[in-house]
Amino acid sequence: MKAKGNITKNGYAFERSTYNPELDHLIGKVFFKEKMERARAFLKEHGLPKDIVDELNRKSELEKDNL
Amino acid sequence: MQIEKYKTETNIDNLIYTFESVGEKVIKKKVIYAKFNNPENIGLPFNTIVYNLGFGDWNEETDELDDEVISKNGDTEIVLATVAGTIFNFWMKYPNADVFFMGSVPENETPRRTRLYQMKINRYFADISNNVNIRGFAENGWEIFSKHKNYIAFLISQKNQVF
Repeated sequence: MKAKGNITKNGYAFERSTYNPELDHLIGKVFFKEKMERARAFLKEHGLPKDIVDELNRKSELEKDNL
Repeated sequence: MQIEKYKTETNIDNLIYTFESVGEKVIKKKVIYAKFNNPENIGLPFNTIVYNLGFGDWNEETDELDDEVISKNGDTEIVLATVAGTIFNFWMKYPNADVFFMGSVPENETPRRTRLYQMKINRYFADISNNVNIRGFAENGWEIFSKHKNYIAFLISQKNQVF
């Protein structure tokens, strides 16, 4: 990996973000309220891909069986 | 492929990321992953784990993000690669989560940002398609992402859980 200033260059090899505690005060803050509402409306109207929903339902059934 | 990215910082729960875009100006950017809570209220299975990906310029005076601003900082490629790279940090903590995103559509504009994201997905995610499932929403519904189609929304998940 090469690093120049604050830029890194490594293709898509995973690179870990550094923990910055100063960002923790933003936990719970609502960002993009309008955009989130738009996205929720989109998912309500169109749902998720069928294979994902099928897999979620399958997991849910398995959990019920294991109770 | 060698892809430049900015170094990022994150918070304790890996949902908030920050980096500096360095072009003609230095602009603080933030990337936010926000969970869709109570998915059953929008007709999804109760165990759905989907997060919305949003990013924009950070205004330190107001502690707010602007995802509609056009920065024109000359580093769009690096910024979008950096945003995409945060997904892998996110998956370290939320390996079963899917990531949903739509481009912002400022008033009186076409969905050009969504098209821009699509071009970048074509370029960047082709290299990692063995590990990532990318789906796009077109006029006929959700489908596996294809380079040659236009989509209005995207959903990305880990194919083989690396994290």
